[in-house]
Amino acid sequence: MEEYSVIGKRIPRVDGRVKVTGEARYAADYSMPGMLWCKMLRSPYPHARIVSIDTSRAEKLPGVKGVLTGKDFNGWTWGWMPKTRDEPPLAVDKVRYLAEAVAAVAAIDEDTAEEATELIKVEYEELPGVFDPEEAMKEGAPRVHDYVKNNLSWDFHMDFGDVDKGFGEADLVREDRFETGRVITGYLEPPAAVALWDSGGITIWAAKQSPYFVYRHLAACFNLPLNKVRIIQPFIGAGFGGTKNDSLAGDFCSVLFSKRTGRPVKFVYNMHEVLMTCRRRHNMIIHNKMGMKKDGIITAMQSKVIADGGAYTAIGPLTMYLTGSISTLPYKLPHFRHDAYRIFTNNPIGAAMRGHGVTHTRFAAEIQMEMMAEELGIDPIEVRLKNAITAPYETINKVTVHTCGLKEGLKTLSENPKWKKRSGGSPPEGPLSHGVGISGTAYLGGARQRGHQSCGAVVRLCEDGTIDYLTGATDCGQGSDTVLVQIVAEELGLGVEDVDIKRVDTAVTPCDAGSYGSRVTVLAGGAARNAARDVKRQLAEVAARNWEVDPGDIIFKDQRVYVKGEPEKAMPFRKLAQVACYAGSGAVIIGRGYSQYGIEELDFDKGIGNAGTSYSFTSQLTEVDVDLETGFVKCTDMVIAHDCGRPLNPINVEAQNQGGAIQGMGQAMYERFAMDLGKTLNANLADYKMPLSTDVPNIELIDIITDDPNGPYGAKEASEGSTVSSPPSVVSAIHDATGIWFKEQPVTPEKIVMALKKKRE
Amino acid sequence: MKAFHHYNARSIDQALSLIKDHDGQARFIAGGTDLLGVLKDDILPRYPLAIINIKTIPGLDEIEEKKDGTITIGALSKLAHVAGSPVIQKHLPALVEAAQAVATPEIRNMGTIGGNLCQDTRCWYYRYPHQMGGRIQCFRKGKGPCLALKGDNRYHSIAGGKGCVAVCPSDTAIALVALDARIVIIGPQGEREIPIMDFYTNMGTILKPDEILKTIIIPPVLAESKQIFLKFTLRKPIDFAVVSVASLIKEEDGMCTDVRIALGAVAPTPVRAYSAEDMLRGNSIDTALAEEAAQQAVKGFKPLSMNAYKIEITKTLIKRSLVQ
Ligand SMILES: Cc1cc2nc3c(=O)[nH]c(=O)nc-3n(C[C@H](O)[C@H](O)[C@H](O)COP(=O)(O)OP(=O)(O)OC[C@H]3O[C@@H](n4cnc5c(N)ncnc54)[C@H](O)[C@@H]3O)c2cc1C
Repeated sequence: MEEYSVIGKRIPRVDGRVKVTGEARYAADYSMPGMLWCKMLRSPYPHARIVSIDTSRAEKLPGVKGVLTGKDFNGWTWGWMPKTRDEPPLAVDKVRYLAEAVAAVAAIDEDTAEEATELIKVEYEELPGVFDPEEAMKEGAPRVHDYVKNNLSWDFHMDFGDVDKGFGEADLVREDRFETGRVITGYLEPPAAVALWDSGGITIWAAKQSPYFVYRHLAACFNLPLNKVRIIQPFIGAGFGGTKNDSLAGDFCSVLFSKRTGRPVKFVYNMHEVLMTCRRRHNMIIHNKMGMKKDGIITAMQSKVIADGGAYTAIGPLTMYLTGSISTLPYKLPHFRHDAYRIFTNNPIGAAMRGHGVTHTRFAAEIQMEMMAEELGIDPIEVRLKNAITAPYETINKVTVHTCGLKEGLKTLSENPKWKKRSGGSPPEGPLSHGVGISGTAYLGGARQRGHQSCGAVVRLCEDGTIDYLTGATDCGQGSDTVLVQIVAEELGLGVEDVDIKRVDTAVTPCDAGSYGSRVTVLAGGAARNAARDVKRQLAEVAARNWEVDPGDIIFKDQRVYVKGEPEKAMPFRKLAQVACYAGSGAVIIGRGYSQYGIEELDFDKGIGNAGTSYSFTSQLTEVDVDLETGFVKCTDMVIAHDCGRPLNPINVEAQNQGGAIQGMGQAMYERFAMDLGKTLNANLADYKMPLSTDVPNIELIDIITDDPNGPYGAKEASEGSTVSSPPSVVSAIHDATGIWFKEQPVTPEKIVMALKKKRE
Repeated sequence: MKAFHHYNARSIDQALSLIKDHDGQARFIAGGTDLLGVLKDDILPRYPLAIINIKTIPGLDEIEEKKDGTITIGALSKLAHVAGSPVIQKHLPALVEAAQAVATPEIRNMGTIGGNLCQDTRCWYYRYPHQMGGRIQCFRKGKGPCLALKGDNRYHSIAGGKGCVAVCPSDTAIALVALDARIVIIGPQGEREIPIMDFYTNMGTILKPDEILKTIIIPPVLAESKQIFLKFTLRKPIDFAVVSVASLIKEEDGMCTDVRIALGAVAPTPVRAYSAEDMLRGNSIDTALAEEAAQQAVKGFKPLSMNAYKIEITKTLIKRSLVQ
């Protein structure tokens, strides 16, 4: 094993200080002289035809500088695939979900803009709405998009092996209906931007976790070449997928207002807009069927997924793909069939969120597997160990796994005293019943979508030996800036303090696919390493010439450069930089690198192949105390054995696992949008109940090191795995405490106390 | 939020004359932790033109213990101040618990006990923000229907409610009902004093827009009584009660000589569990009796479509408040 100087060390965040002191500026902190404010008028109906819009009164209000309606975008729409471009910046002839943006106002201040929105008169013809995906699929249901039959937004099918044969071989077959919750990401920073249109094109300071999506959207919407669209990234207050990986009404409207007025235009969504109109996790119904032999071996699985897609397609096709294509991990599955239907409804839009697609079907399969093991008298860890894959492995749909720490993780947990003292039905003390649950899951890292996928990096050597590092990858809070800086520093034998990472700026930094699918460390990290090596190569040549040795013998370490085996031939890195830059007529040393997948084509229609470069494996033990008289659950402890290949920064890996597990716990126990005919009733953070710091359990993280060949320094993903492992583990623990299997998220006290009452009666 | 005039009242008289001048278009503000939410979300059809700050009136935030043991709390006392007051801590532990159970430290540092008693209901239909497609009408706003009846009513009343099934959200009210508190209201017609139970109706408080809640009076508590306040929430801080129970029990030689049980978040007003109290009085309270009393307390409760679970939780809290 190579000894690293910076990699693998507990290095504090490079952006920590500026964030804590308040120096870091977020999109909403930007303002400019002459700036206008943009506000949206939102639809009062979840489904209605727009008969007419009268903006005249709003336009006349003093301070108003412009009003936009859907028509101003000339029919332009966007979407994830060419054939799914169904979403307009502002509703045109129809509104499809409640609070969809119908018009926008730009005014000299926020209050005037808001006041003006109320002066816009929209005449609607209300249409019957459809809010339940199962209803929406039925013949004769109201159509959300007139041209889409049965409201089928997207469907995706996989069929491998012969499931009927598999079920035939089983000793036990179960069919269950599971449901995952209506939840949302929960970033603290709302979407916001300041847009400026001038002769140079568009410049926008926008809160985006994947700015290059928006870069392309704006270029397409306003018919500009890409070099006339400049997105400058402020600091980002979290993303978690979905909204900040996409564009929204505010972006398009501010840009168009700026084009028309010549003034900078700003918008900031409020929390109601965030919770009511921004992209959510799909709420999914999973009909799962599993076959198992007496000894616990799974013979086949068949899943039917119905997802509430909401009003538009967004990234939904990829979600559907992931619900199935990753179901073949982490347990051996000889026969598998998957039918996924994404259904349009008049609800807000479902899209990607941490644990994308996988969390739904994995929850169903994990719980069902454990239910069956219980029926067969097999221990929950035993059944997992029996079916778990070991690397190298290729699934029936040709997902290839090079490293897998699942068995090791599960074994580690099985030896944990917490698991050993598991009650397994022993009587509770007083009203409190203790429960211990388990899960074992997989998640993809280095994910790809369709289209452009690479990450680039530029490492610029300054003549004083310091480094400017340019990446197109966004740190939206996950800590990737720190890891990327570590990688550059490691390669050049420098400290993190010698490397300065620049904010993403599409006019300056290299193009990047985005911060989604746990891909930044794996792919942007690969790019960083390649770019740093490029600089190192150039410097090594200079040093080698100087000392008349082979460039391959030059070592970069501890801010020094020396010749292998000849320690007297040494100089500070700074000195070498000067020599390299000043020698002769001078030189400019720039390193560049980009990531390549090196993986084969992916069959997006059939679900064959690798959607990511590598796969993380997470085993999770969860402890809960359930109050049997009120149904109250306190999650007290979690132990997470996580295989991320190799943690490049253990602090970050811990933080990501904690965050993911808590987010998963929120989904399992607390969070849920209360919907009533398309209305979100709890669009505030008092009524939409994300777990608070006081609700958080103790979390212990155990790193399972597997050193994946496809990641830089052996790294795999570390930010989404525990979002997937947490819900089944929590629900398994609640089952252990109550004897009841809950199949619908979230498992709240109301459900528990009623189920216990029913059980008693 | 829309613009309004803001006045700092220096005396009750000035506050009353300011409100009169605005002819129903003004509101009193204390800590503002509830009112600002109401205004930001623009949930009411009439938006006030003026806000009259009553925190600037001297003398309304004092806590005093009278010679006879009566305790008075100025309505403008901050919740944090109430919870931390030595007098309250000594004599009214149930009120300490209740004040401490409200929201978060930030809100308790801003919010007053008067504001806590006067706060508007949290029914999510009633509170639906106007900017997000328009506020929702309901009987409480003057014109029905009540969408909660057929909609998502998991946090609503389990004990009926004419016209409105939203629950009284105040935690301190529940403790004060168990403590048999009275409140002093001052308005253009002068002062009046009423039992706290009479302060609440199905549609909110009886307070008129031009009246100020001035003082809360707690009669000398039953000597050696046991006071308990229990609140069930999903999360520890911030959450409003799903159900709360305050009880005050006096026992002599193991026998219950007097008892008061107040239930919170089960109905549009605080509820006294009189019949359960009757079962307990004159008996020694053990678990079996506590369970019986709890059963008795919820007798006649009618859950809505989604909140039968609250009955179970209510019973548990009552039982625990009696035998814990
Ligand atoms: C996130 C959140 C969580 C909360 N959780 C809880 C909880 O768990 N339990 C709980 O009980 N409460 C809870 N609350 C409510 C909180 O307790 C109240 O907001 C607070 O007590 C109100 O006090 P205030 O002084 O800020 O009132 P204000 O907001 O100033 O006033 C509220 C209303 O009362 C009127 N008013 C206030 N004082 C007087 C007076 N002396 N005379 C006449 N009218 C008056 C005002 O005109 C206004 O209509 C929560 C609030 C928030 C925002």
